[in-house]
Amino acid sequence: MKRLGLSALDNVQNHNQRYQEVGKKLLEDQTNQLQTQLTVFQNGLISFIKEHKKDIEDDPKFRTEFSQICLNFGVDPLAAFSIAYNGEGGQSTEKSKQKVVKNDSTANQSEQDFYNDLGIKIMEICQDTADINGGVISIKEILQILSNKPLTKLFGIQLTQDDIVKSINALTEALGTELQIITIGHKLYCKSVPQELNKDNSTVLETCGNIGFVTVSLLIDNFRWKKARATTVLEDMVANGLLWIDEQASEIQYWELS
Amino acid sequence: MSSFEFPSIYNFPPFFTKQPNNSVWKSQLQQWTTLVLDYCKHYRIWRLSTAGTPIVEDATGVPSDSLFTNSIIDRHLKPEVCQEIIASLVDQGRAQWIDKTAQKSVLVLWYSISEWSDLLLNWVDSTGQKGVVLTLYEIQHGNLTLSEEFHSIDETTLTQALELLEKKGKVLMMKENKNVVGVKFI
Repeated sequence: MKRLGLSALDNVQNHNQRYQEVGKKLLEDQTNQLQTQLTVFQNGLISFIKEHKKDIEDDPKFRTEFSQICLNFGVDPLAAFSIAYNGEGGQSTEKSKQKVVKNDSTANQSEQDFYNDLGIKIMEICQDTADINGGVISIKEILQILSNKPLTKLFGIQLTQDDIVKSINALTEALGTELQIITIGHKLYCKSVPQELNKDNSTVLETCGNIGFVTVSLLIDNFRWKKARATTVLEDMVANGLLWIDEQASEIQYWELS
Repeated sequence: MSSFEFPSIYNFPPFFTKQPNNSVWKSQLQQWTTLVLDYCKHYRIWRLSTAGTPIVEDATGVPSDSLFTNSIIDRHLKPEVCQEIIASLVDQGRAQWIDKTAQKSVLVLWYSISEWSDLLLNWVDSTGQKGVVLTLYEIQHGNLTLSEEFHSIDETTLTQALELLEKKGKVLMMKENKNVVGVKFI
């Protein structure tokens, strides 16, 4: 029915509202459908890996192309491999741990693979964050970053500090001392820069770990350092990106990022 | 409006001091520019002063403090560092100086001009308004755009987005004394 006069204006408003609702609904439906398709495809990719793992491993060209497909669909090829290999996601590390107890050699192999893959992830994290932490990062922080990665979330893999330490050690065996686990105070860190941390550096980092920051006078008072020693050590560490400075306190404070 | 959730680094005191190590500073700058964009997007701040305070007509729900000041930990950025952050946004095409010589305030583009124009097109498409004449006011403040991201969009930004669409032949602009008053999507 065509309404005339003032009420026709209402009509236009109503129509527009309807159009908008219908449009929104269409869009939502489409998004949902695509989302489902994507999930199905992602699962498909993982079962494909299970079936054709050997082909993928043996043929470099195939492997490259397959990785590319994985990346295009938001599946991390490395993580997908470890999931496919360690069973249907979930407590993959738990499972591989159990297999080791049975002393099954293939399980051993798959566990090795899992830790190698994890090691590469850790290496990436170390590189990504080296700019802001000077290449020294606490294991706790690595765990936190890993748990925020989409794929780990998706499959609910629960990683522990032990897993990180294990895989870094595995990398160290294979590649030399590129990555190192170091203990400062009671905290474990992973170091990805070649320069050694001397005793003074460790003292500073340990104190940071306890109270958040250090100052020159704090070092002088507590460790009986000379002023020059404290200043040099701290400035060196700032230059290497290990510490951040805060100039707005009564005395310059040196903080460790974490 | 819900209050903005700052990233954890916002409570890290050194975040408010320009770091002497260059690569650290670069990453710090990056985190600041992302923060400014997220913050402005959350509160729908279209114009921001270099001091970090929003320039709005209707200030309900928008914090009046500078985002470069964290009163909880009693830290603030120095004015020259604020300026550097804003200038970096301009370099990235994520902000425009309102007055290029004075450099006191910017239009913040948490979406780029071309992203805004896409959003406008989508809205017109999905609501079946092709061929309908719309005034700029309708797009900015009309009831139909209440739930759209460009509701209350700054007029300069909106005009730029429409001009881009005009270049692509997607709209006809209606002008009155050189001022755009209305637009028809074709």
